[in-house]
Amino acid sequence: MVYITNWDEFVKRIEELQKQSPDKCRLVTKYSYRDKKLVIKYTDDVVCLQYATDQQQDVKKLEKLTGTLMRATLSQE
Amino acid sequence: MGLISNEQFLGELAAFYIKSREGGSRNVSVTMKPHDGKSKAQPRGTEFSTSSAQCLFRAKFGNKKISTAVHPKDVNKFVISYSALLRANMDNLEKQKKSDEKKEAKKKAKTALVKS
Repeated sequence: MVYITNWDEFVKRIEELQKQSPDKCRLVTKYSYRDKKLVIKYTDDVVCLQYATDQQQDVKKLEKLTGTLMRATLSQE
Repeated sequence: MGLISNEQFLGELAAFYIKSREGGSRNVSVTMKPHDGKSKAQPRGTEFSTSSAQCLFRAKFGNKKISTAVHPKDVNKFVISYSALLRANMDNLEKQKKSDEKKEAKKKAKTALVKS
């Protein structure tokens, strides 16, 4: 699966996917200390969005994303 | 595997991150997905009940798996502790390149001053 390299595009496509199938999406973060790598994946089992990074600043972005997604998940009525 | 409380989950997740530094398995993975509180399989076509929506968090490290459900009222609290946990444990990634450039620019400025 291809990685999206631009964070803003990644977030934009996540939001679109979440609107499309809000109850099927999941966010997976995989962190490896030894490989110095963080992989973030968002998928509804049809479309799969992935982002890989080794930058410290992306952790902050991930925190923000997790919060937004949690709130979006819980406020879908 | 049953669900554990949010605090317990965060505590064990922190332990996972620490253990992954010392050896053992390479990756710690965390999954977040919507959950409606039903633990049994539902017949096909059953609608997702938004009224009891929760966030299910799962973490996996090697063959150990833990999971917890976050209720809407606990979201803010959970996000704060989870963010702190990430910041504390994902700390060996590359620092921003800009700062390096800035440092070099400062160095250059200093040497230029000395020369003049």
